[in-house]
Amino acid sequence: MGIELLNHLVLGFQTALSLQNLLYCFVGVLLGTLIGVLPGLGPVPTIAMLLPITYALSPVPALIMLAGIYYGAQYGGSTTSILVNLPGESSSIVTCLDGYQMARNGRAGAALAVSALGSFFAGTFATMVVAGFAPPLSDLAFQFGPTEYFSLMVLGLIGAVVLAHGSLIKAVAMIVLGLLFGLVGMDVNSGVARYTLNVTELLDGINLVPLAMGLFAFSEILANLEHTRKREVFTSKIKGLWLSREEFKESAPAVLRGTVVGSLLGVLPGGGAILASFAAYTVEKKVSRTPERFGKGTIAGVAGPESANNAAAQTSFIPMLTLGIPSNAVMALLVGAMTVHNIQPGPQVMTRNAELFWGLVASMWVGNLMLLVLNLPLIGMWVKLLAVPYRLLYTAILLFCAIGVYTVQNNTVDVLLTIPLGILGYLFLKLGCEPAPLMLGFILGPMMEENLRRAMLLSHGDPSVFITSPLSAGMLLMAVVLLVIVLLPTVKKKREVVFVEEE
Amino acid sequence: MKIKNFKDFYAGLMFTLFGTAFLWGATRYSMGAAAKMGPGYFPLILGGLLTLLGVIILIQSLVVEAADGEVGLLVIVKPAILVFGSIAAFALLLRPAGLVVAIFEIILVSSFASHEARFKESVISAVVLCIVSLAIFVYGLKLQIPVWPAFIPQ
Repeated sequence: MGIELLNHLVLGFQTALSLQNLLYCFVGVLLGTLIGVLPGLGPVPTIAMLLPITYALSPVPALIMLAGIYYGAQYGGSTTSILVNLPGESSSIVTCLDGYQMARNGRAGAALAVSALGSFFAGTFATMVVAGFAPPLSDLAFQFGPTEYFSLMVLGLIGAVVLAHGSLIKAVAMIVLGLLFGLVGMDVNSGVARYTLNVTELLDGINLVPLAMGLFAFSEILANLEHTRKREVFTSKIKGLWLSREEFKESAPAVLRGTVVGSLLGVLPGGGAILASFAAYTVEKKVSRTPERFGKGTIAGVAGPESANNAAAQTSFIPMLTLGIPSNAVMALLVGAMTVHNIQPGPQVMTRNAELFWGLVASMWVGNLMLLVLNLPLIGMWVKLLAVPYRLLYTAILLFCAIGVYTVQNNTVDVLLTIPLGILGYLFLKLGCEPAPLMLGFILGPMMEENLRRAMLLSHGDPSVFITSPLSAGMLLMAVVLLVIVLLPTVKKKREVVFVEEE
Repeated sequence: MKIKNFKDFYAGLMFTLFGTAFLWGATRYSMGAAAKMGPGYFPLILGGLLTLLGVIILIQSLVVEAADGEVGLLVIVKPAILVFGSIAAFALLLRPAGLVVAIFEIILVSSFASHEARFKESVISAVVLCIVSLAIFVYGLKLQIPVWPAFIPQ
């Protein structure tokens, strides 16, 4: 086991350290930091925008770059939270609470330093978690047939809504709507065109890129245009990017706790950076001997969540790489990216595309190292970016989105398709419906139908097979238990409390 | 009957409408049997489920008191029209008129969605973005995008 892991890591670093892959890793983390710093542009539309460009690359550098955007954004997001009191990234919302207060107290340098160092520590640890836990999990997945896969997807989707915030039933409805959107296009089994409204371009289904743009980018822009907030940037006050002895003593255990919380929550379906940062903040407040100091500039309130979101961003690759099940919207896009390169995400990736798998894992650590340099010594460069007014920013975002969508298939119909999807996204936003569950459903829709078909074919139409197969029954039972737990009145209240800091 | 949560009321309505639309569509495809599912089988289940969920949300919105149910259901019409209009025009202009014209269109039109827009500033930003886009997408990544109007021989 140990030797095998070592061999794998050697292969991984050989791949990740090739000149080409280093370059794409750098481009990824650079872009990630950029969009992390800029409020109003998250990793989902960015990855969607760049997806077409990666079609020309080979899969290894493509995925290394796209992954870098996601965890790079976790680093960049904290900068904006601390200096402007605006979350640069939704996973940095809680960092605003204490980070901005620290900046007002003249400790912006310490807050920035602890975010970067904490993130680096968490990133290193999470890389090892991925390397250690992915192989046994994929071994388990090899025993899965269509019945088990169907149940796993049910569990994954239920887990995703249970852990998400907001109304549970609306999230379930969004999943179902996503599954239905995923079925649009030619049915592979019968050749029947379903829900295409006689649009030829829809025969291949709704494309992932315009969907992600419409739901995540355009609706966000419109929401931001509704209220223009005054920004107060603490640029002059950054000095001494280092921690005092007391600050170090206070933040070190918080970083450790945040890393563990984040690594755990990242693996769960529906987990990921956002949930992890909220949970870590709650944990820090709970264990602190001075909880009343939270919200007034406590360094533990920055160190915990910032470590957690980076750890979770990385461990959320585990279910995607080993089981082929995306746990959040970013992973859903990466599944799309792999499919384009003819790589079916799932347990076979590790054996058939060992170079890809271990190269990606190793690149995460390399990328974290680059991010440390990008975000500490070069922080001044990013701070200058914050001076760019939103009125210039959103027009540029619109343009790059439009070009990105066009280049998917050199097709202007896709660009037009973003308009109804964008209107729909805006409607979802207004009605308090989270778009992330829809994205998960959209990716899993065709896979679920295919596995359901195969499972029922094998069982000669007997649905009891889902309960008689022990693995499948176990997973369905877990899904039911999760739902019941969340619906219990006491847990329901707690679940609301975890996310209440957002307001 | 009084609506107690407008957000959920409209959300429930939306899901019910989507559900019935997909349900109605599914009835036009062959169902097949459980052991050999036709193209209509899975959509029928999902469409039914979505309709059911929509109706439950709808009923809840009439029964359960909500703290934030009043909703700022204010829809900003002018910015929405400018943003989506600029994208539509971009799509329609790209093939005949080329990227440069389309960039100027999307930047200038969409900039008026913000009430802080300044025309001079938008023109400068369009010029800069033109140079950047040409450098990255056309000359750097060599993507197949028409740059100049179709009537100019390239």
